[in-house]
Amino acid sequence: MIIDRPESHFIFVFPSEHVEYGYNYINLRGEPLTNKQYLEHWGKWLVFGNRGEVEALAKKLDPFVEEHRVPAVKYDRKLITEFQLNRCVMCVYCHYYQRDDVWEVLAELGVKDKAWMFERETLEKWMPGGVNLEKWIQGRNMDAEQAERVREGARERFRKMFADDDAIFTGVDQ
Amino acid sequence: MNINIRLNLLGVLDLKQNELDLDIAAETTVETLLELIDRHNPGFRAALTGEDGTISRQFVFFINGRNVMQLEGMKTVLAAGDAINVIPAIAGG
Repeated sequence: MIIDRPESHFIFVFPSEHVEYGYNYINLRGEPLTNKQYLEHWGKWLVFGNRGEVEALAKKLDPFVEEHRVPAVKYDRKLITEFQLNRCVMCVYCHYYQRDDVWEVLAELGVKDKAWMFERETLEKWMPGGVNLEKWIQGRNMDAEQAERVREGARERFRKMFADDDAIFTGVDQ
Repeated sequence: MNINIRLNLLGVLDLKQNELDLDIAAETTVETLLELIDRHNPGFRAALTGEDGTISRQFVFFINGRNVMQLEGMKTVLAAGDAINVIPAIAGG
């Protein structure tokens, strides 16, 4: 199911059961991941394209997401001004152990360039000093005080999210 | 041996050639490959490497989809048929 809420920067592709019944797509063989397992094993294939290209690919991926062959997808609604990139980014999520199977789907749909990134790598980039957070702060022309508040907010948010290694991972607010 | 290189830098660097098929010697490392790419895209090697000589944290260098920093870094040895992909780090979601 394609979830397109105008207030969100991202457009998501989730299984209907996630939207309607709270099915947790962050799992391995049906078993939800703990915070520790999420950081160790969850990640995504990265795909780049203009809005039309990623949108078309999302529609093709939707049936695979419904079948749980691809856990979930998200892509940029538009270019992120702060990052000054010339393409939208699509993330095709799965557990590391499933990545070859998910790549097979992507390759069948014409994706050529392989780029796997663990979520822990992405989270590190959004921590204070991380390339994404610092670029975003710079792009927003924040003063030093605002920037420090944003950094502290990121630090605290992630500390709370991952405080308990054994708790079931409940997602990142996006 | 032949390898394919795709530089998906999404406008972060101005490149002459985004895609290269290179014939390289056996035992070529990532370090040497950067120099070879630099011959086609002057300045590429300087942009990709940090002060310590490793891949700059501003970029991610993939070999067959795997981040080279999770392999042997600059010392990673390439194999025939390897697919190289380089992206800006901020494009990683």
